[in-house]
Amino acid sequence: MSYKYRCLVLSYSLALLFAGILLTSCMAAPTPELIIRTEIIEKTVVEAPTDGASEAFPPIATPSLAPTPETTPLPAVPEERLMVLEWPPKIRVGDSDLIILTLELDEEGNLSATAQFEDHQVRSSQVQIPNLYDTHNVVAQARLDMAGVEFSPQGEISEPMRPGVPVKFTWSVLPRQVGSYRGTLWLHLQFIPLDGGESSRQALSAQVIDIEAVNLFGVGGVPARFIGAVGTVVGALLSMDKIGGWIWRAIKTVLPKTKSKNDAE
Amino acid sequence: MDAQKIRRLIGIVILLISLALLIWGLWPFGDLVRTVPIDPQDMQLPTDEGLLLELFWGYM
Repeated sequence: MSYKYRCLVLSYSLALLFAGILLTSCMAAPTPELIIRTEIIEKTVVEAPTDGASEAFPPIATPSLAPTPETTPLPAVPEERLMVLEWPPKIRVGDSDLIILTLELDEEGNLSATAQFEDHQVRSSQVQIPNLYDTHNVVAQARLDMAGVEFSPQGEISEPMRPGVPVKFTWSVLPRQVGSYRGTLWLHLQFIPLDGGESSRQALSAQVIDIEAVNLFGVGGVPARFIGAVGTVVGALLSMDKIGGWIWRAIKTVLPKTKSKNDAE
Repeated sequence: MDAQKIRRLIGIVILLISLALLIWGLWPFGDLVRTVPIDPQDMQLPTDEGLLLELFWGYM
């Protein structure tokens, strides 16, 4: 095997090995879509035993947020919504990415309430619940708290919530240093009475998100792309210097043919 | 080994390292999506009694 051939094989093998290691470290595992379902926990009343001791400890009544026949149901937003949170688990240092929070409408979008009766049986039935949109302006408010990264906009973002209209919040995140960053995304609803009364606020959700800022041997996203582009051109010119000559010869052979064809016409 | 061979070898190494940097710089890492359903019961008008019950039972 000639010396030149051995050098060529060795250099290509090393480069392929390096590129392969790099690609496998960069390839992210398929990210599964996380679906978290909230569970409604039904509390049950435990009847105390009929003895003298039970008189000292009367049974504790179980509170329920479901409407009872005796009380007027509380006004509520008459639609089921989905909170969809989308965020990047990994960002290159110096690059920015988006965190998006959307309050979408559920596929069915219907309101189905349960009524709890005195015998503690739960029966599903259509209950007339006052429409909150008729008496209040509903405003969705979202706030991102994350230390160590730059994000915009800061503070709380407010968006009016209208019936049947999804609400979207977007933050731009820019990590300046390598590290793991954990933040909390808060979602509140503010109810402003149409008749000018005092507004009230309710927390809907607090979601924790983790973002990892990475670099490659100390090189961030923008420098890596710049060095990669320049180095590709330089490396191509150094290693494939004959290609320039071949392209020039090809151009020279094509140009005289077209010039003579135009002269004949 | 003459200068031309060394130049080509260096060019190949620079080319491959640069391609690796370029691929890493442009590789999409992808996003995570979390979907949480919100019940209409959670979007009810808060009352003083409801607030007290929530504080007592730690419901949030």
